[in-house]
Amino acid sequence: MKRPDAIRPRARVLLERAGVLLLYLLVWAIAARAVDVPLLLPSPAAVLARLLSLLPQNTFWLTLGGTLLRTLYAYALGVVLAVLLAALCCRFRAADLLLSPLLSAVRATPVTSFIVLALVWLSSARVPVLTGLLMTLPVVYSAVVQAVRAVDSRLLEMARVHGFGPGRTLRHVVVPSVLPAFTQSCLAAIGLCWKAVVAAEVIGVPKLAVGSRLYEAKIYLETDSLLAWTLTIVLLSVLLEALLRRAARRFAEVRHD
Amino acid sequence: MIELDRVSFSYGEKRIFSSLSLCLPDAGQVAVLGPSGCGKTTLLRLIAGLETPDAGSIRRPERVACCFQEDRLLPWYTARENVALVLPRSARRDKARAARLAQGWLERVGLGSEGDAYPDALSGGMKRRVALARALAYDAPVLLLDEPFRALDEQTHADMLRLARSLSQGRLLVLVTHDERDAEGMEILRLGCP
Repeated sequence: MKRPDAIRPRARVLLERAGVLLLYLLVWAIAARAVDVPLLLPSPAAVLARLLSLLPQNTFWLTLGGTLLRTLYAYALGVVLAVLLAALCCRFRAADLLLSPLLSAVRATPVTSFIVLALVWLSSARVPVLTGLLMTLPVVYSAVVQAVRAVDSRLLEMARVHGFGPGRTLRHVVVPSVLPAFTQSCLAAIGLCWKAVVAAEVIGVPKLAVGSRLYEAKIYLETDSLLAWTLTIVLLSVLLEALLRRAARRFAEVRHD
Repeated sequence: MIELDRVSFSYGEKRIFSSLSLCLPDAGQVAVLGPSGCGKTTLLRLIAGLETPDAGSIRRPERVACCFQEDRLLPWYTARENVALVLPRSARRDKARAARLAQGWLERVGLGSEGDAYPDALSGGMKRRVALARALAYDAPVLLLDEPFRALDEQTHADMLRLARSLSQGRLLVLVTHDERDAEGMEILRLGCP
């Protein structure tokens, strides 16, 4: 039999995490029993039963798909726009002067302000996309601008002396220098985007949206449904981030190969 | 030929050169000597086109290779890729040929077996060799060396300098150094304090 210290580090980390999760579930179960009002706090078993009852329903998957598509759409638009604006600001000082205060304001504005304002201008189905985009954009933009400004000037000089030209300098010096910060910001932004999209769905209540189901659960006082949907959101968010992290790692490996 | 005609240059308030004129030949080996702060590195930067003079003019070939005080290797590329990047466009078009040429330069500086290594995995001396191979692979008529081997131990320093001098035959080699011994057998350009 293997001694405990012979267990592989990865397996040990997983065991530790599972232990912590079990501990929280236990605390939740004890609290639910102490409160003893399922409307206020249903037990973990009741929430799990509700979630399992949702799984075979077509509308559950369509609802999840709707929110996922909105999130990915908002995220992709946000990342592309952030990179384009960052490139513009790094190249032209006037663009930097114009855009930097605007993006600082976007970053400082509460997400609910955007949602309410966007509901005045747009249909409820488009508001989550705009909100997700506005949460993604400043995070990626700031990271890219800062990383471009931090590119080692000695490497840029080396490129200049050896006749790289703007295109090759961008490809061989700037992009590889910026890539780690860009990847990190993309990973940080996906969680923010996901939360902003769901928040906008809760307020805008579009069709086929997790946020709309949360809103309905609140209206009809179905606390177990509310927690089941929340659990789904958390699981999907973790999955999405893990997939993105894996893709980033794979991309880095391919570049090194 | 490199020709500086009444060149003046300052870093802010600090004047480095005032109406400096000099001519360097098409080929040969020139050592630039002088105390710290006299403008040895600035002279090389002016020749390399990395600084613009406040007054006067500089005539120099279009391509000038430079080996800096630091290795300045791209950490995301292997030693061979770092060298291949500076090869002429015609050589870079064919990847296999570029890799072969870069490998040849690495072999000439004694690093034939380290082509696949990333700079992180190389010692200080090895990185300097890769930087030298890169400067030589650039195929420029002028090679500027800004004390690139200063941080190395005495023996490696001497070996590297000998290697640089032998591999740059037929070009103009301009070496900035503090050490008079490095300048042995070279033409000397001595700079004084401004």
